[in-house]
Amino acid sequence: MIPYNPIAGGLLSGKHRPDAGPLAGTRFTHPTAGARYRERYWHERELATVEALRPLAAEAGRSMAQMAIAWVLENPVVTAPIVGASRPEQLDDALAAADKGLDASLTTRLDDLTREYRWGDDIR
Amino acid sequence: MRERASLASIPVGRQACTMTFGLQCDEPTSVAILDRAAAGGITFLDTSDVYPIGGNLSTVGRTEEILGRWLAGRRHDFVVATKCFGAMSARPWDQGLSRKHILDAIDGSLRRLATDYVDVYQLHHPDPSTPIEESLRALDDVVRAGKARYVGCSNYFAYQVARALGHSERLGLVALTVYSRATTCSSARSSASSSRSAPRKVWA
Repeated sequence: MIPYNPIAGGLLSGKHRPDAGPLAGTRFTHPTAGARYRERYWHERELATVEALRPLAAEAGRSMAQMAIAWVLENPVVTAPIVGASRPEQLDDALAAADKGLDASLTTRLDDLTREYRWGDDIR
Repeated sequence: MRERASLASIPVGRQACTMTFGLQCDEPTSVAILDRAAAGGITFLDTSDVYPIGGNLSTVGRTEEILGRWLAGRRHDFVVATKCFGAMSARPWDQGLSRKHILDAIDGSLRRLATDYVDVYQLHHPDPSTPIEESLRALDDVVRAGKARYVGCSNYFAYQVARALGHSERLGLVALTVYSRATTCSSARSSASSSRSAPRKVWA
């Protein structure tokens, strides 16, 4: 299993703020692919989850993207998460995630916080 | 002879980098990203013939061309994956998962990637207009011709993967062993749940 969009097109990086709308120059505002990414991830529920994840990352001293990728890596069925980058420095989070792993208690908290997303048919 | 080896048995460094270069970033930026990925130990490079994302018929194949130029002289340092399904021209048969298109598509990808083989060749999306047996037979030929080492699928529901695996077993064809799916918007019943490894947590 090589899951794509491990940071949900950038939403789980925490760089977007719900009130401000999608940032320019990202997948969510891309002239042709933007609509697909907004449809896939830019929803009230997902945005609320990102806000709930924010303090956990801060507490762990990790960037949100790094925490998200590390969480994907914790899944034993995953061979490698497929990370995307439009700037070289964006790879640093992915590399750090692989190097540092994720604390077991944080993994459990993230499992609990995101349980609802792992039920029901995927329609997007 | 059935192929049962799993890509999971290949140490790929636990990170894959998706290549959608060509629109979101230009070639110099793409090269800088690839250099950074390689320096950081990323060894699995995933792309698709139809990329760059957000492109059209005038841009299809561009990402593979950029990747192919970068891979020159270091092909064996990486596990390279690509996919087929998307329209590669205005001709109606240059898309989907028909035998006709799969056999054309792999050759196009190999030409653009400037390599003799890809490590993983994936069905990018399900094609309801083509019987899966036809696609699997074509993939089997692709593997037997040495053009791909493993085959997989992306964006399939678990039941679709399960049916494909059943057909492969019944027909003695190469089986899909690599599954790709979006994280977070998916479900316990999506492709991961078809893994026989009984995942503790299911997503992707």
